[in-house]
Parts: sequence; C-alpha cells; structure tokens
Amino acid sequence: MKSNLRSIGTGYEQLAAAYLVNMGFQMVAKNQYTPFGEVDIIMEKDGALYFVEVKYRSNQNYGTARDSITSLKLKRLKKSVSYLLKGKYSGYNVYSISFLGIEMQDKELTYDFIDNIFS
Amino acid sequence: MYSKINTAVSWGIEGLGIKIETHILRGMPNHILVGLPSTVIKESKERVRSAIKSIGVKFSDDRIVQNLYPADLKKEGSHLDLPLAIGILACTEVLNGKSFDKLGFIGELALNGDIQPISNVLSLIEGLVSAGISHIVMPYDNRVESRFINNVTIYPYSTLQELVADLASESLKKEVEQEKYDFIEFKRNESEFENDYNEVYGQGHALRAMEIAMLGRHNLLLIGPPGCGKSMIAERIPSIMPPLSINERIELTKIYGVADGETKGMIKYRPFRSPHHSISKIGLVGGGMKVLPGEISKAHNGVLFLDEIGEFKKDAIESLREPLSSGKVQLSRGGRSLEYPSQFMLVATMNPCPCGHFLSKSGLCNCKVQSIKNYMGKLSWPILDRIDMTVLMDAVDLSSELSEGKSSQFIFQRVEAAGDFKRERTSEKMRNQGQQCELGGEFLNQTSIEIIKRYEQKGKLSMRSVVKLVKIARSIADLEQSLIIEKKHIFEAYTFLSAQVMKKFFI
Repeated sequence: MKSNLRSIGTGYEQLAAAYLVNMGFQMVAKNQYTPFGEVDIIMEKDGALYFVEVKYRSNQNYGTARDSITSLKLKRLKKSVSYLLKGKYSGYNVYSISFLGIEMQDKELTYDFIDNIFS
Repeated sequence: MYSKINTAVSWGIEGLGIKIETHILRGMPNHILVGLPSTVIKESKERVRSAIKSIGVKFSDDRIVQNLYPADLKKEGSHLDLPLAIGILACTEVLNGKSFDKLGFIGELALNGDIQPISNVLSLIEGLVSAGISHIVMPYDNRVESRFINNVTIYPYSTLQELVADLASESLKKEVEQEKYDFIEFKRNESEFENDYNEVYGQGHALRAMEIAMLGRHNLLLIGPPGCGKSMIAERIPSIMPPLSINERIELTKIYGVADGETKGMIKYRPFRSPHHSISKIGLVGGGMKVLPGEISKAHNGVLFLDEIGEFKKDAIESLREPLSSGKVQLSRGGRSLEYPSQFMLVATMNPCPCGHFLSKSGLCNCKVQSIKNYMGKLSWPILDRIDMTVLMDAVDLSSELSEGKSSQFIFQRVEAAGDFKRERTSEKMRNQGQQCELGGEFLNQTSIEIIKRYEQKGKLSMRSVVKLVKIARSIADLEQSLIIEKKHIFEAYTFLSAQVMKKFFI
C-alpha cells in the first residue's frame, strides 16, 4: 500500500517537473531527503533556487490541494529548505519556497503554482 | 483584485467614517486584517467566512489582505462584519467591477448569512454622513432608529443573500417611506409608572421642593431621619419628569448605544439612575479601558439619584464637581480623549447625623457634636455649593390628621404648564421687556431686591448663594406663572438654603 502511494506521488511529481520545465525552470534535483522531511522538486530559474512542494488531489471532497498544506508541513518544509541551503546548495543567495497543486477537475488536470508561499 | 468600502466606527458618542480596503493576491489561503482591529473585529473573519460560504459563494482560497483606513485609529465593534464581507465579495466575480463609492455599509453577520442588529446605529450613521456618504445599507432590525436622521437614504436588509443579489443587479431597495414620522410623537402612559406621589402621606414641603427642582432642574438634597420618606419621594421622580424632545432622545440613545450596547429602539423616558453607594469613581463619571460613559452621562437630561450620599466614596463624589457645573465630562486614557455630555439633575439623600435623628421631633439623637461635625464633613463645601436646594425632613406624625399627597399626574401637569410658561418667558420677545438688575436675575421687583440685600448684609448669604436664591425664586415664580419675582418667592426660596446654614453652624 505504502509503495503504491509513493508511486502515485512519483508519477505526479514527474508531471509537475514537466510542467515547470515547460514554464522555463531548470531541473536541479528531485526528492531530496533531510532529517526534517523531504523536498519534492528543486528547480532553478534566473539564478534563483525554487523548492517546490507538489500536491495532488484527485477530487475536492476533502478540500483543495492548497488546503492540505498545514502549518506543521510548512514548518518542516522551512527546516528542510534551510538545511539544504546550508549544505548542498550553499552557493545560492536567492531562493523561494513554492507550491504546485495538481487537481483533477472535470477529468482534466489543472495546475496551481504559487511562487513563494511565505509572502 | 482590489476594493474599497465605506463604513464607520464610533468615537465616543460620535461616529467616524472609515474605509475598508481589500486586496486579494495569489498565494496560500490566508486572511489578514490590519489597521488596529480590536479582538471583536479579528473574530469577524470567521463570521465573514461562514456567512459568505452559506450564501453559496466560494470563499476565496487566495491570500486576502484587508486594511482599515485610517490605520492608526483603534477600531471597535462587530458592525464591521458586513463591510468586510462586501469588500471580499467586491474582489470576486460575484460583485466584480461594481462601484461602492457612494454607499456605506454597517451590520453584523450571523454564521448563516443573516444581518444582525447592532448597537449605536445613530452615531455610525452620523459618522458616515459626516464623511459625505448618504446612502447606507444597514440591518433591517435597526431601521426604526435610522428614521431620526434626516437627509440619508437607508437600505435595510436582513440577509446577506438578498443584499448581494440586489447589489449585483444594482437594484437596492430603499426603506419604505410610509409611517416615517408617526411614531416619533411619544405619548406618556400613566400605567407605565409603578409608583405615584399620592402614596406619600404628609411631607408636603418636600413634595413642593421636588416640584420646584423638577421645573428648574435644580440639584436637590433631602436630609432627614431614617424612615421619613426621603427615598420614597426620590423613587417617584420618574412619574413627574417631563417628556424628552427628539434631539434629547437621539443624544441619549447614542450614549446608551456606547455604554450598554443597546441594540434596538430609542430611549423613551428621561433616565433615572440610582447607583449603589459602592460605585467607583470610574463607574460614576466614566472612563476605563474603553473610555465608556459613566452613570452621570447615562443620567444625561435626567436624574442621578444618590441615596445616602455620605456613604459614597469620597473621591467618587468629589469627581462630580466639574460635571455638575459644566454639564459635560472630558475623559482621557491611553491616547484617547473623549467628551460625554452629562447634564444631569442631582438628587441626593442623607441623614443629619450618624444616628439619623438630629433635629428630629423624636429627640432620639444622642450624637456628640464632634460626630455630627464629622458626619456633615463627608459632604464637602464645593459639592454642597453646587447643590441648589436642600430640604430638611422629619418623620410624619401619625396621630395628626394626614392629607393624601398630590397625584403624580397633577404635579406632572403643573410642571409641564410652568415649563411652557418658562419657555415663553425666555423667548426673545419677552426677554427685551424685563430690565436687568445687579443681582443677575430678571424681573425682580424692588421689594425682592431689598430683601436679598438685607440677607446679604446680615452675612447670611454669599454671592454664590444669592445667585442660587434668585434661581430658585425664579422657578417658584414660574410655577405660579408669575413674570415678576415677588417677595413671597424670595422667602420660600430662602427656606431651601438650609443645609449651608446648618453646615456653617457646625464648622
């Protein structure tokens, strides 16, 4: 069951990456694990680093993809990002923690990209 | 997406027009409220969200920022729910592109989208009017009060759903014009008064004093032994108070809207406030965290009755000095400075000595002179100076034949008739006929002036007391509908200065 969910996630993370590359981002890394959690996708654009949290929702019965980002998740994401910025990606001065929601609406995928969710 | 909505907040008993700016930006779902909102206004976020969802509109899951302009003014009140909700809706497709420049909104929202009645509507409407907005959307249940203000167009609504539908189609429904003024004339209803003066036996002197005081709005002090009927007489004051004018009712309703959060209707009767003697200074004159009006402002245009005035806290009584002479009170706290009207008539009672029987026929008093001095000392000269009339009462002798007192209806009508006479006397036409005299009063005849001068030469009256004497004599003459203040009026007025005489004797 667990591996099945993981594979769903991986599938939509690939879709997300493709969508972002299409928007002009450059792929840096995927599924970066830290002691605090995981960062789904890391992208680069105009010298800035984008840490993207990807969320998929097949229906809106339990709220939208945006609603699923809780304060605890934000806290973990922040910690992971600062961990990565101190280590692997210390060369970057400009960064942004972003969100990409993918939702199934009327049998079509819709993308909801929010640049810098901490503003 | 951006919108700007007009509304108002109260500032003392006045209203101030403010604006609510709403900006919806792309971002994680969040609702931010800035511009010094109070806790009540912060809580309105939840009411607004529920109300908008309940009318079937999707609540924006973007980042909503709302700003209350001017940002440095602390804002209070739950009536901002409606403008906050309209501000959000104006940024969405529901009301997109509509202009709300000419409209003002006030109202509290229920979770199901009903628009609830609010307090202090009159001040808020006046605040909007002074900001140049004369078209106001407000709760349906508050429409009665709004009729007292002229030159505004009121759109009363009871649900957000109807309001939004009408705003979207630009067809707001005005208030129905009919019966606009017919309820304003307010009839005195005898059965509404529990007590009547005909239940008072004897004490004709005190009743007479009450009549005079009520006409001239003189402050009155009743001194007498326990059980002689001081409180009984004072408690029946509401049954003889003259009716309120429309402007007085508006002013009082504004004060009560601030002080008590009264949500419905207008004040009908002159207030009669009788706080317990444990009241604090702030409770009496007003103030506190929110700088609310105190008992003296709640008794504006009415009567403040202090039973057993000697038992009140010294600082509370002394704080009445300025309001008693100026008729208003200026309160400052935490950067807020507010003025409340407080033209009240003070009616107080006290015993003449610790045991209460001094000067009484019963002869029960065995208080030492020093303790009587101390007891009288509780009432300071500055306060006593501001009390125009004093009545010394004694227990009624049950063995003698007692006449039933005059009925409240009778006294009320006498006071009313005298009030009409007084208004006519003070009108421009009459004023020119009377010649001014050096004693300050008008229409004093020569004998009266000589009597007053004689009193003064004997050292019985200070200059301030002379002014008081003439004021009381004027009211007595008015009560008899006599233009000239005659000798007998002066003599009767002099009997009401007894407390000063008594206090002077003991100090």
